[in-house]
Amino acid sequence: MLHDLYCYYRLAGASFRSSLINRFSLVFYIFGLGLTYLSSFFGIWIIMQRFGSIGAWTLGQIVFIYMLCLGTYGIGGMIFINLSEVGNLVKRGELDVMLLRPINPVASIIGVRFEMGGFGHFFAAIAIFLVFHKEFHIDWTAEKIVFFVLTIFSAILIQGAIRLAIGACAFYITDTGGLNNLYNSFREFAFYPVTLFNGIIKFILFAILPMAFVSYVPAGIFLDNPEYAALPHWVWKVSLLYSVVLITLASRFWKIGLRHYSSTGS
Amino acid sequence: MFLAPYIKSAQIKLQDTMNFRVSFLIRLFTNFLYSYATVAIWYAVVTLNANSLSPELALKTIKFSILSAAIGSVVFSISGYEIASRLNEGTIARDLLYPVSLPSVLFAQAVGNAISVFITNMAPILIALSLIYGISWNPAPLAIINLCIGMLLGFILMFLVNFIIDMISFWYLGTMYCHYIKEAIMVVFCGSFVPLWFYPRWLLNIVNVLPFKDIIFTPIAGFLGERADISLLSVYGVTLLWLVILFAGAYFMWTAGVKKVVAQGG
Repeated sequence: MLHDLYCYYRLAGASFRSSLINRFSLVFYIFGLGLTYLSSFFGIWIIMQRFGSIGAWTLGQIVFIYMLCLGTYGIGGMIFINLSEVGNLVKRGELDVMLLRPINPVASIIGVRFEMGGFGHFFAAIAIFLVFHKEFHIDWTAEKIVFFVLTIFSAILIQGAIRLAIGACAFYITDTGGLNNLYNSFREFAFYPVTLFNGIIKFILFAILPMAFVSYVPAGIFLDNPEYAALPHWVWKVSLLYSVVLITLASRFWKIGLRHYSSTGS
Repeated sequence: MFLAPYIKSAQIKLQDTMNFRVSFLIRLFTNFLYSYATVAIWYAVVTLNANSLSPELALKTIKFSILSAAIGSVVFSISGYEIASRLNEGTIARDLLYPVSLPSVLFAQAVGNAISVFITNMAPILIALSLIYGISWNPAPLAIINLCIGMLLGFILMFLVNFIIDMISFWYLGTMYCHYIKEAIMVVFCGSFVPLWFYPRWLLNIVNVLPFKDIIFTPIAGFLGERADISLLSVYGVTLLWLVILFAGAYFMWTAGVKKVVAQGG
């Protein structure tokens, strides 16, 4: 495990340094991506300015969920984005090369691309936090800070687990482009309280692509919204453990898929 | 016939995009999800804030969000990387030797692509979302004409904006970042996500002096009778003026840009 982490660290470090070659483009890239998300957020801000709330959801609560989803997507993307390329690696026969290396293939795949664009999402989330933190009405005790850090880890793990499971599907269906698009589409819903959507979408966000556990569910630890009062407070805290279950299941699925893998011979 | 090569280019693009049916189905489904997410948010906003909205405005807002999502799928499908990719690959040298105008070919291809997106994305999205939300459309013939003219002008406007940004690649190849910034500007100023009737006055004053609202908002607002007090000519007269300005800008950039092209002889 430690060896895998070390290999990932070295590979990702090399990718990070190579991204710094053209710094002007890099800054422009991060700025542009961050601005795109801030402009989408601006739309939500206009809605909230006009209506004050959406049902029981206040501006601060909706912003908190948006920020959580955006920031963790950025960090998760930095680390796990290359898992969306597994299908292409299989198609081109490049996965065979990675399997021959004396490194865990997952570390090898995610390490070769450290996605700097994730900083765009991350900085946009930080900007939103700095501007709107008073609207959250969260008393930042030591316990809340610890749980906030755990929430971020949990959200990143869940997104990593989803990407890993989609990547493992490449061992059976080869082309995972459609599944990646599907994941990106459903991510749009996770920017908002998922209870705003109908039953089918809610079912998908809780059970199939569990993006609800990235933002809406853990937000229950911090936000004082009537919806969260329906269950005891500890439930929202324990929900963070779901990320461990998911990443374990995804890893198991990956390993089973890898045993099933046969090269396309490209 | 002078137009024959351009009509053929549009036909080829249309056939090209229609050939990949699986990718079309995936794109349709993901586009539908993106559209559905937007409409679902607005549905939640207007139903949960029914007290602060008249039923007419609530219905008009839902109709706007459906039309905006459907038309956006066509208008925002215009590629903004045609010149950049040709410059990267060096094929621009060959394209400039052909006895047809490259900008006109690109426009014809954009039209071909738009027709295919219209058939396979816009129409199904419009029908599906109307059925889901029980929306009935009883438009007057004049409103349909109004929408068609507005959509056509909006399409040309969007093409010119994309083309101008694409042409920056004659001087600087990293135009991807410029497109990110353009997208951010579009989201705020074209009124595709939040209808402009919800914008605060100070922001509306800025939006009104820019051309971006004519890409999505103006045609839909005309169709829904929002601008019934203003004549068609005065609404689209401003759009036409912007088209002339952007066309002149595109012409000068193209003339200057092609002089900068250096074939690397690869």
